[in-house]
Amino acid sequence: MDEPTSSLDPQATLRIEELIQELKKHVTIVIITHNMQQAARVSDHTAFFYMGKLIEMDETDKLFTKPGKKQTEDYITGRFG
Amino acid sequence: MSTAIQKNLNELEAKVITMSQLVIAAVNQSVEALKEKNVDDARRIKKEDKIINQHRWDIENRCITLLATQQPVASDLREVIAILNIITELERIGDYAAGISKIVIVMGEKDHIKPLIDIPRMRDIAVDMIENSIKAYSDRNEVRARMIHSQDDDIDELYNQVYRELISFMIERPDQITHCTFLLWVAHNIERMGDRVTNMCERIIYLVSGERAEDLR
Repeated sequence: MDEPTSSLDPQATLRIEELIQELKKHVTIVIITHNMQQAARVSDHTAFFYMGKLIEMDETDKLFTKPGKKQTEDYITGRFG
Repeated sequence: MSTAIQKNLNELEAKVITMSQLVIAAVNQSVEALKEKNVDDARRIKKEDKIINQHRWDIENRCITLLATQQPVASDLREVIAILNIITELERIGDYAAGISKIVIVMGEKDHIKPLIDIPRMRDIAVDMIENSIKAYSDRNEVRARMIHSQDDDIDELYNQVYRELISFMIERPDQITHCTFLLWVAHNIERMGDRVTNMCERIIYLVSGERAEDLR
């Protein structure tokens, strides 16, 4: 899913995210998002790409609390966009 | 690039440092009040513990707002978690100083059974530990945070010494049991301060490295 909730209001976003949570019990879902909170909420694993290049991939809990790469840290904390 | 979160975190750091200075002053003055049998000072220190508590709630409220409005992640999130824990420990150290002041009030102006040597030494180490831990926090210095723990062993050693000495006094002078018990409580309060600073160091290590420092004890 490419930016599945872009331009949606919070209620509609919540419904899509609940659907993702339900579907992921049966199939693997890959979503592309620029919304950090959404990535943290809905995914088990997160990959950070920059300029088309994979920078880091890890379990979501780890990537958002203790990322391995400085570039990931700088991006998710908003130090560079 | 400096973010709004970083600006808030810098302000919070300054507030934590201010709070630590108030706590250090309370610890220093409470033991001075004990040495000098200064009941008036003890009353003032006990009353001023409320100011330390207010600082704690103010910082905690700011952390809650930051979590709710800016969703910090990675090192920013670890910093908020570290701050929340550090202020809890500092507030408890402030309570120990207030506790010592309460004991001073109860003991009154009666002379000590002997000049106080080891209790002020314990206090000096505890204050040094607080100062070092706050320095380690503001410098994000994991090595320094790990080193502070050894000072806690020094406090524990002095506490055991004071404990043995006071028990001997109680056996020799049963009329001084109450007085010795009060001093034992004071020593115990300072011993607990060392433990609280060790907790702070664990959080500083987590802030810097993202790793739990369970090996400190």
